[in-house]
Amino acid sequence: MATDDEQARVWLERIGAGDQGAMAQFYRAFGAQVHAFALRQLGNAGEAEDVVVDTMYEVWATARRFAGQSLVRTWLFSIARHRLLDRLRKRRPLESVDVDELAEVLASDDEGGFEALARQQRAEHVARCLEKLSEEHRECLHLVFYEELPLAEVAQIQSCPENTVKTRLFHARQKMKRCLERRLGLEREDGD
Amino acid sequence: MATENDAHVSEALPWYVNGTLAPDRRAEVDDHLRGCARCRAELEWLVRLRADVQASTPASQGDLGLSRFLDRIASESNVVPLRRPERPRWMGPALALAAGVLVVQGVVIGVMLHERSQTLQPLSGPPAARGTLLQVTFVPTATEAQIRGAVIAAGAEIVAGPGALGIYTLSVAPERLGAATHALEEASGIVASVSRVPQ
Repeated sequence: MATDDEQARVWLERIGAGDQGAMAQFYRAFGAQVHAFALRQLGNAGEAEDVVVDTMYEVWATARRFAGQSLVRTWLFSIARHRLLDRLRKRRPLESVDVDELAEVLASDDEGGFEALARQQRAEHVARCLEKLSEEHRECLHLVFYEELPLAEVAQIQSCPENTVKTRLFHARQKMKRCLERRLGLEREDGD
Repeated sequence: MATENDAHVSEALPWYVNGTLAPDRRAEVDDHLRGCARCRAELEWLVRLRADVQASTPASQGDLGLSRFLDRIASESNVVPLRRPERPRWMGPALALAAGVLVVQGVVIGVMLHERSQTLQPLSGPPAARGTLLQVTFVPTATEAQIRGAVIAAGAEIVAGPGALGIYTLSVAPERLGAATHALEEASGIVASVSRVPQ
């Protein structure tokens, strides 16, 4: 369940007064979201965790500066985005699918095994297509379809006008569509 | 052939899919979709894309760095101020006067006690400095067994309390501060607050 903004503001006020207990609660409430956001770009769970720690440290250090003019979540994602941009140069490639695991599923007589394989392969194609997007396009898709944020909030986090967000999303959709059609089309040819 | 209206609706579809479109705009899109097969096909594709994006995000596991974060802020923070309720300005001088009276009384009592050569141990008061000190409050419904269990799990020792406000003072080894704080926070929802005592 999403953390209520009211609750988050109470924690921030206490964090600003040096309350480590409130900081731990805030970390537990938002850590997974920041991790998923960073993981989308970095493709490495360990580095994504570093971004979470760096982001939360900035929250700890600057909680008093939160002016309350946006949702706490928006402010937090803006911080996470800056920390993430600092790290993107150290990004490592996404881990490849375990071939042995795939082979095991393929060898199974269980019909469900083929469905699971199809799902896994589609997920792999989606991940590869997301990788090919620019950082801004990938980030935009994540904020709209994973975090499910409204347009105004996405614009605030990405520090750009709403029309720019719409344009980014338009191009991201087009690129994903072309990429998936190409990959899934090639797969169908291979399977013939 | 796509119309200008199709483009106008198409750009709203992502937020229609994620459920954040304003109600009046949503009604406008609903109305358009009824008569536009192209936009319905686009909607279906976006619903699939949303599912793909969500499925492609692995679940975050572990404490996501919480323990090392707590250790980091504990080691860098020399003083953690306790929250103090705001008081009206006029209370400052009044409290100073009251404190002065108490100091005088304390000196008198101290002299009397010394003369009687008795050693009194306050029920709650400044604890002996040993390790790093934490002040902890528990929720009103916490039982003694739960409190004891939480303190043991944190590897801490009660050195004072509970005081009049229900505050316990615990002592933990300095190198265990982060882990102890984390363990107290995890204590089945019975801990109300934890803060470090300035030393």
